[in-house]
Amino acid sequence: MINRVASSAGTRMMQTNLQISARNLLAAQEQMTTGKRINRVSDNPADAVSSLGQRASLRRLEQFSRNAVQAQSWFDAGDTALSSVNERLSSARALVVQGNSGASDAQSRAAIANEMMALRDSILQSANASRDGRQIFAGTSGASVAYDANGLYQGDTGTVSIPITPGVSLQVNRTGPDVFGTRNAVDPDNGDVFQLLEQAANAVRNGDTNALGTMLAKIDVATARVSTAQIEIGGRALQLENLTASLESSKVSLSNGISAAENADFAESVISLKTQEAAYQAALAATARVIQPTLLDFLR
Amino acid sequence: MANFSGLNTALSGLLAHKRAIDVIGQNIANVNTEGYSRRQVKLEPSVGLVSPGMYSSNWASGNLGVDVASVNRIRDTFLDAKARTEMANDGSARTLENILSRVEATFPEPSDTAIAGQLSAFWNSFADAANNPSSIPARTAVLAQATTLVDTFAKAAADLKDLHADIDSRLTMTISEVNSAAKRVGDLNRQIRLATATGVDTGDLADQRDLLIDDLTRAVGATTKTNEFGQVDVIVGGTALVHGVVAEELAVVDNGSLQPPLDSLPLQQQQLRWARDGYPVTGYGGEVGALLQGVNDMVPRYMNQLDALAANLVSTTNAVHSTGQGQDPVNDLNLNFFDPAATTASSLAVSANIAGQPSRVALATAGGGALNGTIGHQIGALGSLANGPDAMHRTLMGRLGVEAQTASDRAELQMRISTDANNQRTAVSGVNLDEEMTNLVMSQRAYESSARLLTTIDEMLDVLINRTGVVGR
Repeated sequence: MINRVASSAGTRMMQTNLQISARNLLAAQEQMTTGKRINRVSDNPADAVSSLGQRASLRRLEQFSRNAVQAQSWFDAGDTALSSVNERLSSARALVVQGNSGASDAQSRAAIANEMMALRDSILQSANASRDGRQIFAGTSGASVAYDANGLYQGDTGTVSIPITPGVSLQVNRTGPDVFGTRNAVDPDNGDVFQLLEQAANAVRNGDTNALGTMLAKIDVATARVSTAQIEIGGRALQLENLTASLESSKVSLSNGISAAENADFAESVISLKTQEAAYQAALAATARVIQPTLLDFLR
Repeated sequence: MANFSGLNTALSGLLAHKRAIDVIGQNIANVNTEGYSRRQVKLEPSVGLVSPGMYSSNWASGNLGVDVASVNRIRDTFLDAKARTEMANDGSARTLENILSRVEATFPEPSDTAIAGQLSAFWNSFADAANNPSSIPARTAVLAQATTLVDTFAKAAADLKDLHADIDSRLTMTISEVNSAAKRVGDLNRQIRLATATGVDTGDLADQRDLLIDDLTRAVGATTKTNEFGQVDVIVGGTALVHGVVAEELAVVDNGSLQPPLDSLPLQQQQLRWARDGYPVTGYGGEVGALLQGVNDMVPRYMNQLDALAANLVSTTNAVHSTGQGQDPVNDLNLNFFDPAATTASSLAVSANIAGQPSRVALATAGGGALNGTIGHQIGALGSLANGPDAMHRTLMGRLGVEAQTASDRAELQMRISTDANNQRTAVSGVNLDEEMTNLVMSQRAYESSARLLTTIDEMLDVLINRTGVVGR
């Protein structure tokens, strides 16, 4: 209990209180101007640490989004190449049927055989499709083409997987042998699609109808293999679409989480700023009153 | 006594109240002087020779007027001690808050540009490169991002080192201020002793001494003990810093290397010792206590944690990177990404085998194809590792945040307590103008009355001397 008041005590106390008011006002102004509740970790350690974690997750998700774009372009390139291969194969099948069924003179058989070889070259071209300077059917090898002009596979069996969400990676490639079959040097009839077409062309040229009969079934098998790969790519593309959607919604919820942890509630900061301003002005007014009347004013 | 004694009584009144008015003048003049204690005149009736005996008269023991017994310096030693304890706590709390806020400024989180952001960018650069392993620009981006990360660590380490050096020099400065203040307290003790012996007023000297003792308390958390002859001993941790007129000196001395030792900085533990015998000082506090805590514990602790973070980054990255393969499947095997020997924040560096050679950055599994990006994607995922560098950094930030917040709260609370204690002290010793005015009026009236008494006696004597026995003249 203070029962005596020194004349300087009032001034000193006002000075201290002015300092405190000014500090609170500054904090409120900082919140207003930065729009943030947390400007340094000590402002609220728990929220700050949670926001640090969420920021890191968000940056990771942004990376996943970039990965998803890459994966999508793999799928697009694969699908385009395989569609054209599929078309060529059905043309080839039609040619085999045509060669088998009637065209008897050597000249027209040769024409069909040449057309078939042209189809084989066209399929080879599709098999050497690239995206972003990279062969899409060559596995992880750095070969400049997946198949050389003789139809020999240059790539490896490596898989290319791209992480899309935490814990989920999608395989984005199919290797040449997966799609076009395995080369068989000993028995070309049971080799890959290029050998098959070469054999078919030979059979047509030679008018070997027996061989052509078995060839038809084999072309069907090769077509089924390509279609399977295409369907698989389609399935993965769909999966990618779903994952990307959930990725985007995770990003939104993380951004919301960060702003909930860090950002100041605008209405609240305005009110707080106004309150602190009023408190500061009141403190200033009180300080002005400290130069109060003393007994001196009443003595003559 | 004769008729003239009344004149002396009046004179003593005039003199005493003149003195009282002088003292009031001094109080008013010093109303805003820091550390000034108000003075109060103590009056007492004059006592004549009292030796009771047959012929002693009533005159001898009374009516002799007034004396100024003493001019007292009003001060409450209990409140002084309380205010000083709080002052020491205040000095300590403010210094700690200051140190921690500077440590915190070294880690400007949350943001996307400080260590946390750089770590994410580093991991992401690996994932980007893994999406396109043959691209030299993407691999160069990995190295560039690593350099930025290394620089960020080095900057934080350098900031902490600067802070440490700052605190160290501030400590040295504070100690030399303490030593000179202690010496001046000793000098003042001598002057007060001499002045007391010769009966001179020591109030101003005592005020000066109290101010110095306030400074000493704030700096090292000293306590006081009043000695004979009005001298004051200043005590730090049970040992006298100032004993009578003798002042000891303090010194800050290196006391072996810090435990655990920091590789990056061969820091010495600092110890406060008595300069005379080299015996360690115990029980100190105030600013020096906080500065020593900063130099010996706080800053080195965060330096250590930053180093541990750097070491974690090196081992985590290398563990995966060394299993991979660069573009050359023969020569680019078993390579460390960061220099495995440089495991501190200040020495952290990209390994010499990799620096400037983007083709050697391992993105593929060993034996994998040239366009294999498995290892790149694995490194890209290291940011989510449960005990990886990112998680460790968050833990570090959490600890720092809580410590800084606690220190700041404590400093604000202590400021209020300290202001309060100081107000209680000045309530006793400070000057109140209303009170002084009242006393001034009282003394003025007393002075006037004494003068009137003199006039009255003079008129009485005038009647007696000039108008008595003149009948019929």
